[in-house]
Amino acid sequence: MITVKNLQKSFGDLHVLRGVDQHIAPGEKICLIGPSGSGKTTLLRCLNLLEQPTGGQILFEGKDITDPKCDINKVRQQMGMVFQQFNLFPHLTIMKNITLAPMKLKGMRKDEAEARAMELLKRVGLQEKALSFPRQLSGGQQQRIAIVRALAMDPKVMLFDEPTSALDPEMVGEVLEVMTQLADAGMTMVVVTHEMGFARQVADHVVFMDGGYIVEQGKPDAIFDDPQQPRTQDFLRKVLK
Amino acid sequence: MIKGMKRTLMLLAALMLLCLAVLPAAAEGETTVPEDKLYAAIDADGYAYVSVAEATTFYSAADLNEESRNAFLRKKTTVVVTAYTEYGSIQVWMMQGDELVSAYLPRTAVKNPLKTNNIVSQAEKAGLEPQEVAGCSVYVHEASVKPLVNNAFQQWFIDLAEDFYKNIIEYDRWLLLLQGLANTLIMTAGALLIGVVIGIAIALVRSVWETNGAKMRPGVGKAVLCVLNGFFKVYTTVFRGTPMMVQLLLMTFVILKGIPHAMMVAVISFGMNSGAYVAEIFRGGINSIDKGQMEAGRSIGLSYAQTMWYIIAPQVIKNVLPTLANEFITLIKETSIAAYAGVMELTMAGNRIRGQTFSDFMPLIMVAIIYLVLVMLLTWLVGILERRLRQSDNR
Repeated sequence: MITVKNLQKSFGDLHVLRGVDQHIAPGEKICLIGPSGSGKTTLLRCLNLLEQPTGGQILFEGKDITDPKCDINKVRQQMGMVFQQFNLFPHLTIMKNITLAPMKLKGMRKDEAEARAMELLKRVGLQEKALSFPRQLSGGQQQRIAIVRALAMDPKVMLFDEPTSALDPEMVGEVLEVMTQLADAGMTMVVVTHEMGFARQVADHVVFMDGGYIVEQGKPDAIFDDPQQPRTQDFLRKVLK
Repeated sequence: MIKGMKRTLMLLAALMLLCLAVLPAAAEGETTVPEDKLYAAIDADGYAYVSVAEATTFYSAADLNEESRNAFLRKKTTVVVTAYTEYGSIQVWMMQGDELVSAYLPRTAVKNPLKTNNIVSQAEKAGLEPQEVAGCSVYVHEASVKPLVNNAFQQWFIDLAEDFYKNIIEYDRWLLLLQGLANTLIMTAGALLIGVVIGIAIALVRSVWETNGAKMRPGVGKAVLCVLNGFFKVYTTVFRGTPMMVQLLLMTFVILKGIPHAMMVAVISFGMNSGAYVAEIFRGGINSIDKGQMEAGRSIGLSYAQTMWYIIAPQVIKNVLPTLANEFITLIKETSIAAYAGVMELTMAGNRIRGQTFSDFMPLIMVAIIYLVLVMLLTWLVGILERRLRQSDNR
């Protein structure tokens, strides 16, 4: 579904990605792990061009999205993204947060979009919050809404950028639960995370990054139980302690 | 009697200058008045006055020289004194023969001459008995006589009321203020409109350039944006760096000399100046929105323009509203200098009244009050709007 070829990204003199190759198959769940500054978030943000790569190619369903002629807005409609800071629209109700894009971009009627939104809200157990404003919700609830907002566009792939890092510990569970549900439903997912338990349980494939490179990747069991590279071993020893 | 003297002296003093100009010098206590200008009056104490033409001053008959007094008496004027008004002036109806020569009804006398031609019968109908005073037949309507004030505060208030009457009511001078107010409002609204349009355009170009300029692919779009950004930077610097007054005069007498409509030039001038300030307000507003909002909007597939319109703009407007209101308030007050470009706005209207009445206090204080009320009204309205926008902040 997504193929990344020799992807490079630098901010001025700082080379954050130094040539990354990766393939993401439909239905696959990939977790990106690694120390901070390793480039995993940048890689994720390059996938929907929130960061413009400075080199290499990203193919989405065979189409090169780094090509200037490619309509990136159309591509992004098929890629949901969930941010660390939720980034809900504070001036809109939850319902409008969710229905805005389907109505404006897919030409969905209001009642149609709202029915779909209610269905999704029910799935994450927040249907009674439809008319609330984001600030009236807890962090965990906001993040679940953010997931629903992305899902409302019926994306083919979901990108998660450390979705639980800004949450109070007691709220991490509810968000991971929604993500697990989503994974079980067969969604293609790319997740940057520090939740090793989640990565091990849900991921089909774990990618360990450091210094702008993919250092090691493989099945969760292989990475977590039998890492080959010293840097992977070092990192995991620290986070799993 | 002493009261009457005091009153006379007061009235005398008020028109002393005028008298000196009109009348030749006479011995102290004696004044020569042309016969055709003489009217008679008398107060409730039975103290006789002579009125000079339509002027508001009364002379005591005792102040006249022999010739004038005789002329006055020859007139056989019938005088009906009806009342003191609450402002301490004398309200007099006068008959000369069968003809009403002057209804000195203070304030409204000029505009509303009495239509009646038989004052005497009216007075008798009211049950008044004629009295002989200084050779005149006088009806004194005592029922409506009010005492003159003798306390300082009352006097101050009466003076104020008279001042108000003279500067605002008389000759419908308030119409002048109203017209000035209308022009001030029209100018402010016009300048506001231009200012916001210019301001938003500048703010958009500058913040798009700041956040995206470096990332843009080279091409026509980037070149245009770069040039516009540079131009707007200069624009902002020039318009914020020179006095509004100088800008207005330059516009009126140099740059837009060809436009004969002074107010139009002023509106353009204020609008362009305001645009520079509004631009900074909006730029600050746009910059204050978390960049995650733009990313979230873009990540679901909204275009840059759509995200700006649906996501960023509503939040920016809410954020900048108080600052914008201050700018508008500044603008209302700033339009007062349009007088220098020949626009008949509120301040100039006040000034014109000053020129007509030779008063300073009342015209200026009224102008100040109108500005103040206007500003307070605007502040109140913005408060309401802000509260409505704050709905989404409910916790």
